[in-house]
Order: sequence, then C-alpha cells, then structure tokens
Amino acid sequence: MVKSLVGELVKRDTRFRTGFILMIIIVFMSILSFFSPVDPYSTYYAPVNRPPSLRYWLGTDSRGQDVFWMMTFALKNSIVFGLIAAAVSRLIALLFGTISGYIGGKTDSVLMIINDSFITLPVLLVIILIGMVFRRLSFFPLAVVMGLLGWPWDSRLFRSQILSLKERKLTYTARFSGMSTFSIIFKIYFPHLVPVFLSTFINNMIWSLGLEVTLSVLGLTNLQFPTIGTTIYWANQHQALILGIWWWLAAPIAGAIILFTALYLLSVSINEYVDPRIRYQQGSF
Amino acid sequence: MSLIEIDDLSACYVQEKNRVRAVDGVNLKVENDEILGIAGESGCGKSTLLKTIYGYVEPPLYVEKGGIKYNFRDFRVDNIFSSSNLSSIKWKKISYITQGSMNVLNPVRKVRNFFIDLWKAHRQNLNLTDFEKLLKDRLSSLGLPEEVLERYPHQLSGGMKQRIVIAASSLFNPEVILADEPTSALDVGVQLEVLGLFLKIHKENKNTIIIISHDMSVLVNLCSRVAVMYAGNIVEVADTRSLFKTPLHPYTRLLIESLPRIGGDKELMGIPGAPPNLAFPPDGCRFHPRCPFSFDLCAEEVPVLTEVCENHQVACHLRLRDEKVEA
Amino acid sequence: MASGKVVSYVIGRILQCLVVIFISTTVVFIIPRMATDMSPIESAISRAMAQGQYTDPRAVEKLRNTLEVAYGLEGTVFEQYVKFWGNILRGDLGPSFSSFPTPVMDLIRNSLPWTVGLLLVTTILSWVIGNILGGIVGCNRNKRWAKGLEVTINALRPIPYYIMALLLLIVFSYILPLFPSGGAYTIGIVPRRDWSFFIDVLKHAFLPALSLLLVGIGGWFQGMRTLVSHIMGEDYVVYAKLANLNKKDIFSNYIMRNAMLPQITGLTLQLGMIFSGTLITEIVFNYPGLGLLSYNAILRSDYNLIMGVTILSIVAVSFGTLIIDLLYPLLDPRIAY
Repeated sequence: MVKSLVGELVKRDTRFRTGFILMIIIVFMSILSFFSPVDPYSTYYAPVNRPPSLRYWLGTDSRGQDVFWMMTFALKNSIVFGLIAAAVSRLIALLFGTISGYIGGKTDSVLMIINDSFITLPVLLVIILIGMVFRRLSFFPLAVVMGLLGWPWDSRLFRSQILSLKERKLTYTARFSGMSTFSIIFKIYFPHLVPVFLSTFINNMIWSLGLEVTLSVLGLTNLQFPTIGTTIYWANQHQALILGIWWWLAAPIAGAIILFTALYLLSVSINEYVDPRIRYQQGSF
Repeated sequence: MSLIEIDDLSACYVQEKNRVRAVDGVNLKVENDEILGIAGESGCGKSTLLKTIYGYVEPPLYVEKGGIKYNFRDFRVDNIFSSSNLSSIKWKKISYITQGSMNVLNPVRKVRNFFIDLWKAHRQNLNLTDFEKLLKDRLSSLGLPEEVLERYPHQLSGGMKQRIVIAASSLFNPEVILADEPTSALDVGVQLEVLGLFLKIHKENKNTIIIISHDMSVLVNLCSRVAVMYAGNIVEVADTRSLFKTPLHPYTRLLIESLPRIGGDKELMGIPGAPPNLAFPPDGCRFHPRCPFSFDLCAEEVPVLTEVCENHQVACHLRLRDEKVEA
Repeated sequence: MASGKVVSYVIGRILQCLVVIFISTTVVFIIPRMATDMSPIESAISRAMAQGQYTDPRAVEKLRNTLEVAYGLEGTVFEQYVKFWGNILRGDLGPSFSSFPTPVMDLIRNSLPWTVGLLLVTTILSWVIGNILGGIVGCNRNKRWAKGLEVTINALRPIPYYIMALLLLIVFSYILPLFPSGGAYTIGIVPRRDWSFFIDVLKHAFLPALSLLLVGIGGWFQGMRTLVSHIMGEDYVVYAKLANLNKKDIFSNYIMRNAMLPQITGLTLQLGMIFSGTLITEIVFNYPGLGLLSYNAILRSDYNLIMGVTILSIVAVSFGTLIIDLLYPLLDPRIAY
C-alpha cells in the first residue's frame, strides 16, 4: 500500500517528486558517512579553517575537522534522531488516541485531560529543565524524551479519526458479524489511518529535528556528537561568522534547510493526497 | 418563438482520461407560461442539462457543442456560454433551485443576511425598506412567518428551508425557474405543500418552471408538459396527458407502469438491467440493451427525436418505423 | 439563554483548566527529583568547589542546606510538594540562583513586557495576514500569481525559528546594516515616554518581529488554504455562487467566516509553539525578554529561574486556551453553551 502511494505521488505531484529527490540526496549523504575515512569524534586531524577546496570539499573548521565528512555524520544522526523521536511519539499518540476514541465515556475525558496537560507543557523549556538536571543528555535518550513529549497534538487527531470511523457503517457491519474489538481496530481501522500516520510521522520528524537544533545550539546536548545543531553550536563558539569562516555555518544551515524542505514537501503532498476533495478540485485531464 | 431553444447541446464531464457525456445532442424547446417536467433515472443527465440551461458550467463540466438561445421579454441571448451579460440574467431572468436544500444556507449567519446579500447583488434600485417589504410579502405568501429571517439555518426544518429557497428563487420574478428534485428530501405531506407553492407561483407570475424529478407521480400532478431523458438523450416529449395516456417510448412505458396504483393488485415491476456507463455508451439507441422491443436497427443507428403526433415527440425506431409504414 | 447552564459550563471549563495546570506543573516539579545519579545540589556544589572556594566542610554543609531550601529539596518529597504549592499560590517562585537572592518573580516581571509585546503583535499579525492570504489563494487556486505566492510562503514555512532569526540577522544586520543587531533599545539610553524612544524600540523590535512573522504566516496560510479548498465545495458556497452574489460578499461572509472557526481553535493548539519560537528568536537577537532571561539562566544553571518561566508559560498557555475556548461559541451560532 505504501509502495503504490509513493509511486503515484512521484508521478503526479511535483512537490512530492522534489521532496523525494532532496530526501534521496540527504539519505545518500548519510550513507556516505559509513565510508568516511575520518572518525567523527576526533579533532585536529586536518589543517584548521581552510576554505572549500578540491581536497576538503566543504573546507575545514576551527577544530581541525573536515566539514564535508562531519556533515555526512550530522545528516545521518539527524535523520536517525528524527526517526526515533517520531516513532516513539507516533506509537504513544496512536495508543492514546485509539483507546480514548474507541472506549469513549469517562476514560476518554480523563485521557483527554492528561493529553491537554501535555499540550500546554512548553516543550522547549521542559527539555531544558531535563537537560539541566541530567547534564548533557546523550543522543538516544534525548530522542526518546522528544518522543515522550511530542505525542499530544496528534493523539487528538487519531482520536477524531477513530471517532468518525466508529460511526461508519463498516464498524456496524464488522460488529454484527462478530469481529472482536481487537481485530476491528487492527484490521479495519488501522489501514485507514496509514496516510494520516505517515503525514504526522513526517511532521513530527520536522518538529523534533527543529527542537534538536535549538537545544544543541543552546549547548544542552552531547556536544561531541555530530548533528546539525551541534555543528552550529561549535561554529558559534569559535565565532565563525566574525572570523569569516562562513562555510562552517553555511554547511549545516544549508543542510538543515534542505532536510526540512524535503520533509515538508513530502508531508504536504501526502496530506493533500489523503484528502480526496482536494485531489478532485485540481481537476484532471 | 420559444422562451428557450436548446440546439444540439452536448456537455461532458472530464475525468482522468474519460469523457462522460451526460448531455448528448439534446434538442428541446421550452415555451412561455408552462411547467415542464424532466423525468428519468438517476445519472441520466437531467441535472447536468439543468445546470447548462442556467449557465453554470464549471470544470470538470464542459460544453462540447451546441448552444442555447433565450428569448426573454425584453432581450434575447444567443449564446449563454459566451454571454457577457450573464450576470444580468442569472437570478433575475432565470433562477435555480438546487437538489437538496439541507445545507444551502450559510450556517454561521442569520437567514436575513442571505437575502440582504441577494439584494446587494441584484436589486440596488430598490431601496432596502422596499426590498424588505417585498421579501416579507413573498415569505408570507409561501407560508413562512417573518421570524424565520432572524433564525440560523440549523434551527429550521427541512420544509422551511426548502420554502426559503423557493422564496429566494422567485423573489425577483424571473421568467424561468429551474428546480432540481425540489421534493426528494421531504416528507410526503410537505412534498404536497411544496408542489402547491410551485403552482401558486406559476399562476401569479405566469412564468415557466422546469422541474426535474425521478418520481413520475410528482410530475403528473404539476406539469403541463413532460420530457423523458435516458442516458443523456431526450427520448420523449409530450403534453402530460398524452404522455401518461399513450406513452410511445418503451422506456417511458416501463417508467409509468412501475408506478404503484391505489387499489391495484398488479405485480410491481422494475425496469430490468441498469443504466449504461455514460463514458462508454452503447451504440445506436442507448436503451436497446434493456428494451423488450429492440431489433437490429436499434443497435446500429441513433434514433432522432421526431414529432409523431401533435405535440408528441419520440426518439424510437419502433415508432418511426411504424410512422414510415403508415405514411 | 439559560444562564444557569452557561454558568455551570464556564465553571466546568475553568475547573478543567486548573486541573490541566495542576498536572503539568506537577510534571515540572517531578523532573529535578528524578535525577538519581546526580542531584542538582551536588552538581551545583561540585561546580562551586571547582572554582576553588569552598573547601571547608562546614561551609560546604551550610551551602548544601541553603541550596536545599532554595531548590525546595529539603524534607520528604511530599513535604516539598506541599511547600511548593504553598509558595506558588502566594506568587513566590523562589529565588534565582544566578542573581541570588533576587526573587524569580521580579526578574520575570522585568522581562515579561518585552516578550508579551513581541508575542502579541506577531501572533495577531501573522494569524490575520496568514489567514487572509490563505483565503485569497484558496479561492483562486489556479491563477498564476496565487501559485507563485503559495510557493514563496511555503518555502519559508519549514525553516526553524532559530535559523530564520539567524538568517535575518546575518542579512539585515551584517551584510546590509539596516537594522540594529540586538537589544530592545540602544544601549545607554534611559527609557522615557517620548516619540524618539518609541521609534528606537520599534527599530530594534523589527527584525525579531519579522522573523517570527515570516515563519508564523506560513502555518496559518497553509491551514487556511486547505480549509478554503474544502469550503469551496460546500453546498452553501455553491448556492451563493449560483445566486450570483457579489464576489466580495461570498469571500468574506460565506467562505472566510466559516473557515475562520477551525483556525481559532488552531490558535489554542499553537500557543505553546509560538511561545517557544518567541523565546528562541529573543535569544538570537539579544532581546531582553523571557527568552534571553532563560538563556542566561541556562548558562548559569539557574534552575529555579527556568522552572519559574516554565510554570508561567504553563499558566499563560492554559488560560489563553481557556479564553479562546469560551469565546468560540460566540462566533459559531451552531454551538450553544
């Protein structure tokens, strides 16, 4: 089902195609990281502050690292980070939304109040608090924490989908033919939720990546670990802009813009695809 | 001179790579001061025809060929689709009642605001107080209390909403009122009242009403003339009386015979088969796969709508053949 | 209107709001107490000791006690919790560590106006502009200028607040020195109520506001455009078109009035994000609002200050949501209390 979705969108929608191509570029760069001749944690192995040249494609930075290879690691780590955070939050959102929507009644009210409490949490500040308490959050736990904080918005979405599915004839038919609640949810509802799941997955990736960049720039994450955010942090620490080492900042910023734009294009086109009314209105020849 | 002359009109919906010809080569003349009914199954093109008569042609609907001429009391329009004075015609000379009036009113504003918008768009030479008086008269003649203007649409019943829609469409005394299934969503009792309202408007203003219904019993009570459509073609047009007494087209016959009669003990019959896919209609006469009387010519040649007796036209090889034999 | 029903509904919603505040504040309370490996006190002490000052064990003990009181960590967890709420209800958010003993509340009070100003102006402007543009483009989907506008705004949308702020700073402060690069007003000037000061403030606020605006418009724009695409197909819009009503009337009364409603609800969901974005932008531009306050607090490990800002934000967002929720039925006649 996912394959046909992707295939059709690549053909029809320029935006999806562009986003897809950009994503492939980024994934390619990330895969390159496995072939990197340098260890991302080592520093001062290359001459400092060299501008981009044939030897160092994106130049070197003030810590003696090759910006190009650092970027491959940064992109890889960023993507993995986004995937983990999005996966965790999707699962929680799905669970919450489905239980709340299906059971309804008092359980629903209680769960929704808990949900709302998490929506009002200022995530940035809370993660800063966590960062201060636990000192230099390392990568993997941070992604999980993002997941634990990023679900409330979308759980409402899943909940309303389930609510409307519940009222539809297909539920009654399934019920009357004796399907167990479990199979109704898994076999009938979930396929309907796949497109929404996909689009919120990508949205969540964008959100958590943005947050990671912010946190790293503020110096709250594991700064030895190469990500887009930590690269910007080090560039700022070494006053890259003032010293004229523009490539050190330009690379992560460009990487960020490309990554975010790619994800965004994908999400928007999937969103519109999911919505049949918009497809119809575009007219077709 | 007829009020509306539809000449070889074809309109189609473009979907992916298919063209669905919902109106195919329709020739029809609509006269002054008559109530014309258009009957037929769902999907036969009645609504599309009505939309094109109104000039409401938006993608994916396109007019392929043909045209419509209008001879209004004070001016003529030769081609509504390229007409620049479309705005002076819409709602003033012709008005339109859509199928299903449940959601046609703006849910977040009071009913009276809709009428004020109508006034702003169509009758600026009437000042507001005169307009309001006209509006209230019209509403009360349709059995609506004045308070309905202060209500929101969700506070009104289906019947009231339908009456408001009828009031809006007859407000500027247009020469033609087009009504698409105005009674389909209503209870039977309300249906009767609404039909009565149409008659009343027709009598008071001497205008023409074109009404679509898949329910023949509605048409037989209201219309002076009835046209029967099948798969995008008009297959029979006649005065109501002669259509129901002596239906000439096999499809019309089957439609009429499928109506239950009070006190009848006849077995209820449907029409066998299903309407054709308008993207790929059958060759020749479109009804021939389901027609109990079809013969070889029917599969080859499209029958032309011809006048067979006085004021009675039919498009059927059977009748035409008989005609020729008799002549 | 049955006022009894209205009153009970309103009270119910207020109660709900308070419960939400209660739960989220409790979550914030729990965080430092989850640190099993190294409590914040120990880390504060080890930092102080690294500076080579406190080597006398009695002094260290005293420091520990003071910090415990200040952090609210003395006694059992339950006692801490009760004291915590007692303080908050009195408006006491504790002392700031980095500016000890200035109360957190005072520091917040000084920074708050700057943030509120920036926040309110940019939120309202981006909501209004984004929605109007989205509505116009949604109605004219196939025109070329509409498509162009859409692509431009959408290109800005995925850019994170920090990067947008950084970009604007680089372009309009370094490359083209049109605007000041930071602060709320020129250093050294004493704030006074006159025209030239006001202009100075505006000049300094321009880039931060622009940065927030550009990113914010995109979100509302996209949402509105999608909504309008839906609404165009609704029966009442089709009918209004059939009745040949004035295009302006159709746009404002039929399309926009209906499309606005979900966008107002959307505002409540976005309040949290808008707040975070404002903080980040303030940091880039050195704007002396809550954002900068928080950043300095991070640098100096001033846990109490951050917690204070967090609680404030929770309360503000909750009440903001409550107000919007209560006002919503006034705009949608289909919903009665």
